[in-house]
Amino acid sequence: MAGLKLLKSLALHDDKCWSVDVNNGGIMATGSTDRKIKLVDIRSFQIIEELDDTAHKKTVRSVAWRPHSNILAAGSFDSTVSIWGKDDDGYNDENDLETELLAIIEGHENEIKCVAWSHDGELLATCSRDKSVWIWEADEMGEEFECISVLQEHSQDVKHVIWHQSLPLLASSSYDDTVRIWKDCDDDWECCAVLNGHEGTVWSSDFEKSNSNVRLCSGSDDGTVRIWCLEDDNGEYEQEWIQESILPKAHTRAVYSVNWSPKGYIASTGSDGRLVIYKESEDGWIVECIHELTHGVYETNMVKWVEYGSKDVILLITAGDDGHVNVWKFDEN
Amino acid sequence: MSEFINENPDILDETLLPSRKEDITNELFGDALGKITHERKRQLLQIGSVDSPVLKNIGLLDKLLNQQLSLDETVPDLTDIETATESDENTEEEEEEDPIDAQEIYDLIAHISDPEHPLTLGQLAVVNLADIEVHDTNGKDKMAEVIVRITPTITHCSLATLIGLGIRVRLERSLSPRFRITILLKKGTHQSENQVNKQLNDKERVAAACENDQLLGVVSKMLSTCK
Amino acid sequence: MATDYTEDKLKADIVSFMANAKVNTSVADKLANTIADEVTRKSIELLRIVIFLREYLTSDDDSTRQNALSCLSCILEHISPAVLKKNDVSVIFDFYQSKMEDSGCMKETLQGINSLVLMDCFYVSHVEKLLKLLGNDYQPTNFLAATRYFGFRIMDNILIKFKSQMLGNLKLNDLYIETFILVATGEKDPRNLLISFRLNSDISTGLRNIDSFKEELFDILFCYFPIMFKPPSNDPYKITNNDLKLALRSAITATEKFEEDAFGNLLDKLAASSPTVKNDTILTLKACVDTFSGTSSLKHWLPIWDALKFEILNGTDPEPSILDTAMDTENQNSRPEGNISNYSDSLSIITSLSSKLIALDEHAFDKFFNHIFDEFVPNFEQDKDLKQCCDLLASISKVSLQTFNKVMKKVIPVLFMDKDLDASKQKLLILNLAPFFSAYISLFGETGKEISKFHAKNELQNHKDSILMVFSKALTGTSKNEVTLRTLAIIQFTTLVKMSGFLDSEEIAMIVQYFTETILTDENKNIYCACLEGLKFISVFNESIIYEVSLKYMLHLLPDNENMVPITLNNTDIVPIERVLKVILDFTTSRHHLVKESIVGLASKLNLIVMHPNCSDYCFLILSCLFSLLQNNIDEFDQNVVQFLKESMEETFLQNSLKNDMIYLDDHSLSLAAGVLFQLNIKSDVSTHQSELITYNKCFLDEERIFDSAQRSIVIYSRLLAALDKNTSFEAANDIFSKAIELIKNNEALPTFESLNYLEFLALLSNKWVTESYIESVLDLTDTSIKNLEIICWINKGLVMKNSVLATKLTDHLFSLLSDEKFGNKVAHLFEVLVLDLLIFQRFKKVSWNNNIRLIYKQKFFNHIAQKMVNAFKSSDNMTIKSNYLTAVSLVLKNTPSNITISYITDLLPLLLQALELENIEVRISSLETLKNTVNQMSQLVTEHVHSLVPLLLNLLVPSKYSNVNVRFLSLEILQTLTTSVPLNYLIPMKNEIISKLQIGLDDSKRRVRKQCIDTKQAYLELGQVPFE
Repeated sequence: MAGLKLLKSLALHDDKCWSVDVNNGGIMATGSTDRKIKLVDIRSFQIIEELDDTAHKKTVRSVAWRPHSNILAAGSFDSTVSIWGKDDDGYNDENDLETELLAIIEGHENEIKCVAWSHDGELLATCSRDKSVWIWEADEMGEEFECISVLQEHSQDVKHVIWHQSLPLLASSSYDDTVRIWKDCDDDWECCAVLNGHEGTVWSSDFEKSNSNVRLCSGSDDGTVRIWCLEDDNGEYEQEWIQESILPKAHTRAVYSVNWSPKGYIASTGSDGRLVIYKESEDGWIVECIHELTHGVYETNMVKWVEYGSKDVILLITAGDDGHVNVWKFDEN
Repeated sequence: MSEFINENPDILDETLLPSRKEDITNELFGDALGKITHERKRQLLQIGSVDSPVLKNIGLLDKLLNQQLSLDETVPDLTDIETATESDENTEEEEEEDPIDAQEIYDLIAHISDPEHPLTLGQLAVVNLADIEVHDTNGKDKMAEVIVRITPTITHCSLATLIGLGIRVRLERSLSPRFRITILLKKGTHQSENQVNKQLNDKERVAAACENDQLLGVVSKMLSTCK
Repeated sequence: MATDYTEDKLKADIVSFMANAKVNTSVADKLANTIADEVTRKSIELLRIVIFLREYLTSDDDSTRQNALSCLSCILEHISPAVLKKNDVSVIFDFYQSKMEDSGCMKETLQGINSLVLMDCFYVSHVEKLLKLLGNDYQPTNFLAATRYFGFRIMDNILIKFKSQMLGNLKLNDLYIETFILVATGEKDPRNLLISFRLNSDISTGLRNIDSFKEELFDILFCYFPIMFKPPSNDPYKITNNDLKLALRSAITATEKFEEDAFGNLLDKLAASSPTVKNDTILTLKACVDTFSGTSSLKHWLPIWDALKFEILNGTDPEPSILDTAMDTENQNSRPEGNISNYSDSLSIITSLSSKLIALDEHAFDKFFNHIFDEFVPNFEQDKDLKQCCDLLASISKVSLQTFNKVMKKVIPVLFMDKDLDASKQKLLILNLAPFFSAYISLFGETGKEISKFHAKNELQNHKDSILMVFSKALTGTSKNEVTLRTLAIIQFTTLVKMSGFLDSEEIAMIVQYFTETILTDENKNIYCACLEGLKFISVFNESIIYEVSLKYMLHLLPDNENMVPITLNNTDIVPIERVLKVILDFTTSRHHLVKESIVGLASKLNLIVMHPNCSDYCFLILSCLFSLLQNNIDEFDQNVVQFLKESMEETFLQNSLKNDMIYLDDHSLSLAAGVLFQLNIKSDVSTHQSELITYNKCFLDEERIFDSAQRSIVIYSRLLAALDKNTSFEAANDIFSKAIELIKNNEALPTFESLNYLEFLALLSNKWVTESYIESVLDLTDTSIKNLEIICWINKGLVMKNSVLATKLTDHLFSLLSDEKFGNKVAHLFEVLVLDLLIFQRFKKVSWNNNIRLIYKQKFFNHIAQKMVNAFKSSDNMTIKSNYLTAVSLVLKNTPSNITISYITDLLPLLLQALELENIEVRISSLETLKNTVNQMSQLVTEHVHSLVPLLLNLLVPSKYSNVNVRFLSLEILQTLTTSVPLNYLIPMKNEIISKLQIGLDDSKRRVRKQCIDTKQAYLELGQVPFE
């Protein structure tokens, strides 16, 4: 039976830790209510840097590394997005340089809930309580951002956005209990599907990391994790998605975060502090393992699969209300 | 849903609000009164007050008797003296757990003042002892739950969310993080009941509200009348 | 022979007068006086002065003219009235008349005229001319207040001197009134207004033909109503707003001729919004009703009633209902004096109307009363505003027996209209009756206070039975959770008893029985207090009823045989014994009534049950009750009370204690019994103490032989002796002192109870009877066995308390043993004994003979050892020894008043902090308690140590064997007080860490700790937060 072992518990923040992301250089970024963003080396668990915490006036809710770069985007409740990176002008050695603020993106009316880079790093999606999703085109250096599209079809607070790892698809989860799929139809983003089914706020979703079929998992306040599958993609506009299955009930309270691993495992966590790993078998999805109280008695806000470096070591990172970031080792057998 | 369920709420008398019948035993200060047998302590407290001379006297007698005991023991080796059984009886009595119950939650929130009236949520019967549920059986390292159902003063009362937020902030500050707090409007007491319930229990929205200084000012004012 | 007051002297005086006229009035006045005397003595002629002043009087410089004229007027003031002849008066009068145009000197002119009026030769013939002069040539508003003042003085003097002539001459009478109206119109100055108002009254009551002037006379009064005067800070005359108000009010009410205008205008003003204006109007209205005649009331009561009705029925501040006042006992009926109550003042007008009309004629009153009563009938049907209606009807009724009966006859039937009353109806009825009870009391007086005035048969008494029936139903017929109704019934029952002559003794007895049963069976705090107050009130003037019906009944209820049958009242309520004893205790403590009876009663009860094995707890309870009764009332006992108690119970009580295992073998009961005997003797007649000593010795030394073998009765013997006079001769003292020492030392299996009491006895002997030399000869300081150390310590306690020299020696010896590895810790604990406050060493008022305890012994002791301990602590580096010093210091601190220890705190603080880490609950608690006091008084000192104090306190929050409930609770309390005593900049850096560390307290197993943790956390959350708007 598969198992989870806590490798390290990092007490990084003195208030809720909401979000964590690891770039392929093994640098982990964390965002918290204490308005700080910390960079930690996942190998040595040493704090490398603490970004200037005056950049944001309120909670840093979401952090995301630009793929294949050391540029970081951070969305905050103060309705702005900060962009950080190393002013790498090629002269001096990269890692003794300070990460500094490259840009502040304004536009949203109120709290920003999530930021996500497209797989090629060219687009940045942001969503907020103002019910809108904005898509920005970023320049190479990450200093210029131009809004190319504002998507306003959610009827309520948009909680989470995620890009497909290869196709030009964006999934947004919302307080209005729905997930919307957006497609790039000749440079104009359209909503091509609305996934109805959840009976509570949809907190998070993630695409399956496979290029054969297009599937999405979503976690909601109704305590369920559901799998959606793209039936066919006939016209340029419409996409037909069906709710393929609801994963076995493993959570007693809201599910705040789901993450689909390249190997096909789905991890979910939430208000009951449980970390649950699901696996697809011939006769449907089964719960591979459950770990209780991942952050003590506190709620757990986010879970993320991490693969970097050697493939055989599979890590999971969770962020919790205790301000800790926990690194788990997942072994399949 | 009649238009005004609780429009001009009859103001309950503050002194008649449900209160805990003082459990006299835990009034006693562990060792200051010596180790009178529990029963005698209880009896004396039925007759006089905690600082009655007779209770002090009996307490002193027991203290001295116990001191005699510990002094007269044959002189054990050094380390034992330190751990001389200070008072086994005292430590057990102290382990006895006071569970967190609905009355305790009620005492925490009943004196929050209503943003509109110069009265408390208890007086306006916005919060009632019967509408509070506490599920906390499985120990301090496990999750627990508190559910509070509130009755807003008027059905379209826009302040329901503000009152709910005030209660949530008071409970989050006063309870251990193992408690999951759910605040709901009582069935049929509010036109947009579901929307309000949803907002009151969206952890992220609440966190954001708590960073809004103006809102926090109002909440602090509401909590200032807590006893 | 005329003194040589020459012409030149006159000139000089005049010139110097004029120089000082404005600058130094007292000097000028003295000069004028000397000149006037000269005139009176006829040494100089007034005319000479006038001639001499002529040149000044006609100078074109205003102030010269003023000074000159003022000189003349001032002289006139001092001349005696008879001096000036008729023509002098006329000449000078004409002269002043001519000066009237000279407006610059109007003040001096009027001043002069005023003096002239008082001259004997100023006849009524001049008055007419003067009045016309004032009427035409004097416009008061053009002049200053000081000038106008003389205008009023002239009018005043004219009225005083020529009133009879004016009464005889209508033309003159009218002329005077017209002139007054001119002079008074537009006046603003408070001093002048006071004269104007008074003159107005004198005129309206003294002169004729007022009717033709009454509108004008009234207008120049009412134009000032309501008075809104703020006295200037430097007001020389100290006139207050209230002075003016009262003067105006008495002027308005001076004559009934003003009645039409007065009532009309006042009723209009009643609708004024400002409460103070409204109150002034109401009080003036009342004054009018009271002063004017009955016919005036008859003519005007209807409009007054219509206007007042609105004020009373929806008056903003109806009196708090008797229930509210009863509930919050603190501010019973004290209405903050500044606060005006328009409600009760309006009611008082109704009472005035009622009394005026009933005095005038019965039918007038009946018409008035019925009109109001009929208006209220719908109110009674719909139970609307009944409080105001009843207050109003009560205020009508309380004028006399006649009015009372008339009102009661109609109101009572309406009140008792519907028969089947549910709880809320009963509550309403009781509330409605309340005002009529207070009317009854204001009419017929309060029981026990003054002898009741006269209480002839009155209407209320006819309905006494139905009233009593309603109250009994409310109290005994309703369920216990009807708290408000039952409390109301109890309060009203007590009021019924207050109504002198209303209830007869059986009825009072019935009420006492209701109270007794209720207090025994009802758990609610409010009900308990209301019954207790009721019983106490009745006991003030009727002790026998309380004794017979309540106390004796309760004593009877207490079981008096071994089968301990549970007490049941009206065979439903089980009454625990503790509840009965609690009521007896609460009742007797505050009123010192029936204390003797309670003590004797309980003692006899004890006598009946002391031999039954299953009554041991019951014995303990009775003994603790007896102990408390004595302890609470000992100061009030005088010798014959003590003598009575001793004679009636000591002998049996002593035998019971010695002969019955229930008491003898129970540590608590035996020591309580000894405590009772101690207090019985503490105030007994000192002359008997020698013989008492002999009897006790015979019993304990000869018969019981308690010093041959250790016996439990030592506690009784020791406490009896503790009460006796220290000067009694006690030959056997030394002998039994040594025997006691032997008993303690050599008796291996000595039980702790005996050991403790023999030790306490040693302390008693060393304090009272045994000499220091004998003590030294008996003590063996080399023997360091625990037994011996205890003996030394307890003997030393007796010596320390009398500041004896030997005490210092023994204390130093004990101190030196603290540094001993083996038993240093035990000695540390023994140090507490030296300063422990024991029952037998307690000080009693007016009792000084029973022991040698000096008031400031603790101060002397603490000064002696505190510094030694601190130095020894610092110099030693062995942790065990250091903890001995910590233990000793903190245990001593615990029993020493903080005002003594405060001066050492600076040195002690480091010790206290280290004591917090010591594994000993008592030491931790005593250090925390000392710290707690220190934080408030010495916040600056604590601030210096805050960085080490906070982490220590936070560690104590973790529950452990040595961090029990109190330790955790006290630590949280101190953490909270830091937020208000330590400067912000010290705490802010630690704020987040403290808040997160406080978390453990939120989950503490004890609710008290959790609550304190929440308050402490809230204090830190708000640290530095700017207070919200």
